[in-house]
Amino acid sequence: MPTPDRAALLMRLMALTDSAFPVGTFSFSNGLETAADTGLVHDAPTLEAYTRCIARQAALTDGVAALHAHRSYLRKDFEGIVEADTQAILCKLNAEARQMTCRMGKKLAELFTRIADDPTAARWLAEIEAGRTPGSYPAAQGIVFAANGIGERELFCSHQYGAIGTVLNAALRCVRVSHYDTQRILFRLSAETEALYAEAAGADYCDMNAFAPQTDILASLHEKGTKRLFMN
Amino acid sequence: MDFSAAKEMAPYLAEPKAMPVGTPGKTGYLYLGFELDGQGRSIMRDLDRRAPLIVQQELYFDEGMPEMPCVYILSSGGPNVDGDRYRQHFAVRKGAYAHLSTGAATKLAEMRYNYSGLRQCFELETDAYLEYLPEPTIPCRHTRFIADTTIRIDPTATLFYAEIYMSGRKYFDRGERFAYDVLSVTTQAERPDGERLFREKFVIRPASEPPAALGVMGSYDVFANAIVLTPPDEAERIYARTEAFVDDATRTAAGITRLPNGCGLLYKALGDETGPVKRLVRRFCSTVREEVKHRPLPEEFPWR
Repeated sequence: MPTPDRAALLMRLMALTDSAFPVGTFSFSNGLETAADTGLVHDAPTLEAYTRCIARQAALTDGVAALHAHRSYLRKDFEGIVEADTQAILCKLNAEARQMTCRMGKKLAELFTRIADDPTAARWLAEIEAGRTPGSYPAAQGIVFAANGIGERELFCSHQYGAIGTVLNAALRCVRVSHYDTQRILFRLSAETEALYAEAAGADYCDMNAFAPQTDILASLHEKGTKRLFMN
Repeated sequence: MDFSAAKEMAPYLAEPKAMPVGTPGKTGYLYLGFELDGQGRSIMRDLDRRAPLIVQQELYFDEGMPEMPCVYILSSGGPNVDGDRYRQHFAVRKGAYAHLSTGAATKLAEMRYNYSGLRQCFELETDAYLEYLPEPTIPCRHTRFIADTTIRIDPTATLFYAEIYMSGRKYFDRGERFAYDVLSVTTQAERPDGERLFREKFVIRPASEPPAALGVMGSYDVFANAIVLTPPDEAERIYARTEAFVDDATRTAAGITRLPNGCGLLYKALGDETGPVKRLVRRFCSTVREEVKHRPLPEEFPWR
């Protein structure tokens, strides 16, 4: 792929980060649906606490995998991308979340191979279709961002924006909060992203970690329940 | 025992003043091997131990499964103290079965210089069955603890592995809730051929990321994690029978999900006190035993 100029880089970063980018983020809530249904998240402060918890988990699991996939792409290490993908799935312990990441990951790979000509991305999609790699979303993000010449800090921020945006956009549909509330939360959590990036950028696979039993239990309620507006 | 890959323990590498790391009595070792004897009875064939870890012999006291060898792991040192390192290896060979627990709660003492580490390895061969259901772990103020568990399991075998962590000595002094420095727990599993199955790691550093936050522990004090590695048919039956709930009346919550690579299930429970959480975990273990060994767990002893 030809190296894009700075304006094109920025445009593409925004397109890939946009919640309208068609990989299906709108159909997920990162567990918020059940958190709202049980009354745990019911206003702006509880929504902010929940979103912060999701952002931290995303940074130190998928965020780490995405950074490793990105670095592997840059050093032309295809097996390294496969390893990042494998690690993302090994640590993705919630079944619905695994399904979500694989759907979005495949969608992103499909989309990118249709809009740009990148041999690594094409090979990646073929590997997913042949069932040789799970095809998680962070692995695909690592590939697509690296192929576009977008740096890893931007990748990480886009990844975090996606995790936070998924919860906040879902919140407008299932929690009594306003657009002002959700934007205020996004504004504050954005300021916490640099510290998370520092932690994730220095992390090896063995450092990937998450501790959120309450969120895990909500995810299980959703998985076993019948009432749903979102896929997770 | 090398825990140097764990960055979260890096701030705690000073030599304890009382006794240095590696002193006899601070480096516990346990090797337990279970197998079927000539008559087809499951027995503890191998026992190797080093203080402070103590195992005496297997006993057959489980009324639900009287043929099951039951072993309590004890520690002559009382709590795990600063600079302790323990290594435990449990092997359950072809067709054998066993139940492991601890004699009392594991207390993690206050630490000033170093940390306490536990490395565990579980090996389960064809059709092996192991229940690992210890008493809760209680981290005291300023404790630092790392547990690193590796499981190697045949696709036909079943492992029930549970841990219960308290927030601390919540009724001691003016109350200790999440007053420890760090708790790092990693559990990973693989097949005998090396195929990786899952890895769970949680690092809790209350000073920088308070666990009493919404989505994390919420307002609960006790957290249980139970891993069940079992063949897919058994896993589906256990999954179907296990309820996910949040009960505001009893202040307990629990959930279950399927682990990656079709290797089994992950069950989590939260509560205010250990009693109700222990009962939930025990009930879940009973479901596992019923689906795999077709017998329920007996009632817990009244003194436990």
